[in-house]
Formats: sequence, C-alpha cells, structure tokens
Amino acid sequence: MRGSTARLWLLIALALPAAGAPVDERPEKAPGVVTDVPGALVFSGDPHQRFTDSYQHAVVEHLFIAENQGSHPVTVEQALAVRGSAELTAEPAVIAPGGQLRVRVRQPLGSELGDAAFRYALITDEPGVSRYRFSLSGFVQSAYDPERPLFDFGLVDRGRGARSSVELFSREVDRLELLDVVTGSPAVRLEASRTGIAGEGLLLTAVLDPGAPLGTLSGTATLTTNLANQPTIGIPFLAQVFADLVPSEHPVTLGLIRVGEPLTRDITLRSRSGRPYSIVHIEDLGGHLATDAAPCTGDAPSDCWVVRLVVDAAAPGMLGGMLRIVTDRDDETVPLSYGGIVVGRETTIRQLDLGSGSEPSPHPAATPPPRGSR
Amino acid sequence: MAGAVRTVAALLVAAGFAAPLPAGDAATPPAPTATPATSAAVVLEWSARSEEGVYGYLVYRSLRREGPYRRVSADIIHARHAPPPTTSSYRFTDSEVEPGRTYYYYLDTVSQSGLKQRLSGVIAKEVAGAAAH
Repeated sequence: MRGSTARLWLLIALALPAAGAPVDERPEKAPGVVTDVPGALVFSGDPHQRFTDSYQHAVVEHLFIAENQGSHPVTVEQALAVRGSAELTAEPAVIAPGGQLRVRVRQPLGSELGDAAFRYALITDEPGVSRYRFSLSGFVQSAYDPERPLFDFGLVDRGRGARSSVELFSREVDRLELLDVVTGSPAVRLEASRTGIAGEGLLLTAVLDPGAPLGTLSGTATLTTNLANQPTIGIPFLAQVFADLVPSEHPVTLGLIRVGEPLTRDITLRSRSGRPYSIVHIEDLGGHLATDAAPCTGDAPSDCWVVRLVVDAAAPGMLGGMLRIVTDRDDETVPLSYGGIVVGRETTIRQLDLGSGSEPSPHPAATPPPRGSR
Repeated sequence: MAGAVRTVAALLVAAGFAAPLPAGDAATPPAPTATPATSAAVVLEWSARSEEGVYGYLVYRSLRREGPYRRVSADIIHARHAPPPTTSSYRFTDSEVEPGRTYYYYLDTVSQSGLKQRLSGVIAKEVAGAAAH
C-alpha cells in the first residue's frame, strides 16, 4: 500500500441478533444482542456523553452514574471498552436497591482524529438483561500540520536503504522543537533539521537501514515536542523491501471473508531482472491459508509465478499472518504478510471507501501565503 | 473522494476594527487611559454558504504577510450548519493587538475528519492609533 494511493477501507460489520447464533451460556450478554428485558440500572442523565474538543493523545475522563431502581441487588460483572482500550472502574461491584453505581472512564484518545466515539458496556448478573451500553464521543484535533504525516519509503531494493522526509509544522508554537524520538525499529532512525520561512518547522527524515530485512516493514515513530497542547505525535513508516522477486500485492489484503465461503486470491511473484526461478515451497506462518504455486506460463523455471491463496475460515475474527515463499535462490526467500476480516454467515456488512488522501480544496485561496509559511 | 468536504464556500466579508471600548459609565470611574492598546481589536467576519463536512474554523495571525502564522483562536469556532439557503455568519475578535501595527490573518476550516484546510486568503489589517513606545 503506497501512501499517495492509500485507500482506507472502513468495514463496519453489524452483527445481527440472530437465532442460531453461537451457543453461549448467556446469549443476552453477547455484543449486538438487545433483549426486551429491562435492567434495573438506570443512568443518571444521558448514557451517551460528549467530551469537549480535545487534542490527540490526551486522556478524557468521565464519571457515569447509574441507580439501581429494582428490588434486588445487582452485581456488575464487567465494565469494558467495546473498541480500543480504556480504563473503566465500576464501584461498588454490588449495587443494593436504591444504591448508586459509579463508573469512571479514562479514555486515551491516542491518534484518533476528528469525530471520535468510544463505546462501553456494562455486564451484570441480571438474567435476560442485555449489556448496558454507554459511550463518550467528541472531536479530536491535531496541533500539527500535516495532521497525518507518513514516512513512505515505498519499494526499496534490498541492501540500498532509503530515506523519506516529512515537513512538520505547528501553528500553535513559534518554533517547533523535537525533544525525543522513539522509532520502534532498529532499522529506522530519524534525522531532524529546521524548515519553514523562519525555521519554525521541522524537516524530519526517516532513514531506512540498508540492512533492513526483506518484506514489509512498518511501525510508528513516536515524537515528543515542545507543544503544550499535544506534546506527542506518532508518524507511521512503511517500507516494502524486496530484492529481485517482487509480489504484485504486498501486503496482501484479503478483505472480507465470510465463514463457509472460501476465498481465493492469486498473487504474482515476478523477477524484475527476468531471471527464471522456481518456488520450492510456501510456508504459512499464520496457519490460515492453503497455498499453491505455478509458473505464470509454460514450465518451471520461470521469471513469473502465480501464488494461489485459499482461505476457508471457520470462525469470525481478524485474520492475519505471514507467508514465506521459499525459492531455489539461496538468498531470496520472499516474506509476504496478509490480513483480512472474517465475518459470520449472517453478518450484515456495510463497506465504505473512505480514501485517506488529503481533502480537495473547496475554492482557490485569494492570496495564499508563500510555501513554507504555516 | 466520497464524503469529503467539497462544498465549503466561505466569504470573508469584512475585517475591520471594533469600536473602542467605552471608557466607563457614571457608576464606574473610567480606567486609566494610558493603555490605548487594550482598547484596540481586529474583528474578522465571514460567512459560509455551505458547511457540509465542516466541524469548525481556525484563525491565524502573523506580523508578516509571508508568516509564520500562529493560531489565535484558542478554541475551534464551531460551524453552525445553517440550513440552505441561509448562510452561517461568524465573527472573531482579536484583542491581542497593538495600535499602529499591521497584522495578517487567514482562516482554516477543520473538517469533521480533523483535517485543516485553507479557507481564505491573507487579510491585512492595520490597527489605528500610534504605536506604543
């Protein structure tokens, strides 16, 4: 996936509360299930609250209060974040009739950007009562420009290394200073210099080591700066390191896979130099795929092979792993990562293509400031 | 791009000076008048014909046209999303200015996905009055 053409696929799977769902001791407590059995706990105020405009990587807090309006004690078994991570503390664990439950939520915003919603669930011991649902939502802004920087090394020849640069500004400080960097990968380091009309910005250059291993290398460089409102920014990096053999897709996005409906995907592995080779075997380190390989045309050896991937998933969930394509070249085993989402037979899918590039200009500015002036 | 901010059409209709603050009323003795800079302000006004996908606006200021610019709207100025054909009108007052100086401003929109985008050109405003020495 290249930065300039990257497309963000948002997959929203709405699980239907269907009869015949996987057997559960208490099916009413499963995600997506709503019963008509009223619970005794009643939130004071709207259980769906908004937080004030916040910056990325901040932590927002909220205290939800609910009252037991029933005639029996209610035991809270679990208070959890439905998506992502949050710290939830529910006290007391047992709420007497007429008593109050206090659920304190500490929600790290991380690298969320724009409208953000965080959903939570409360699971109690009440028979027949589904999860209590509550949420925090609000707007998350970035103090930086661009808001979504990326070090995209693109396709890198093995042994050559690469460089990728980003100009980073903030209009919330006179001069942006870099205080600390953690790249998270020994193969990537960061260089910084000044940029901008008055040196107010940072020219950041990620340097990929020539010794970077074959395959997809991705991660996030975490920068600490002098910005009071948002001292942290994460900049993802992505490199596809290959030698002579280059796959037609890397990593392989399998998309949506429905349980019971095998999915087949063909990937071409071509020699850039045109030298014939043979695939000896393919190892699936994830253990999810059946694989096969054949020359694109004619007999082996060939400068082009088709690798066939077949997924026959048994259960919903995230699916991911790594293939090692072993060739008759001693120094060229090609790693290839793959990923997809497995959904149930009855799951309703909405698929939105939300291109992640910059948004189009609404109208030409009358007199735009000079380049570099932010 | 689907679902993007496409139709923001804002018009910077005025950028003028606020009237000097009143010196005080009969019940309150006027404050010392030796600080005229505190009574100066630059007012930016704009309106938007369509705000689809817009969360709000940010205002930036510089002492030089070429920048660098600093954000002066501490909070995001939230879009009001007036139903068409009504326009939403906005007014931002910058009180952190000094008489006798020229300031340069421009506006960004902030989309609901959190991306900032230039909305206006640079507006130059000279604050009337003698510079403080």
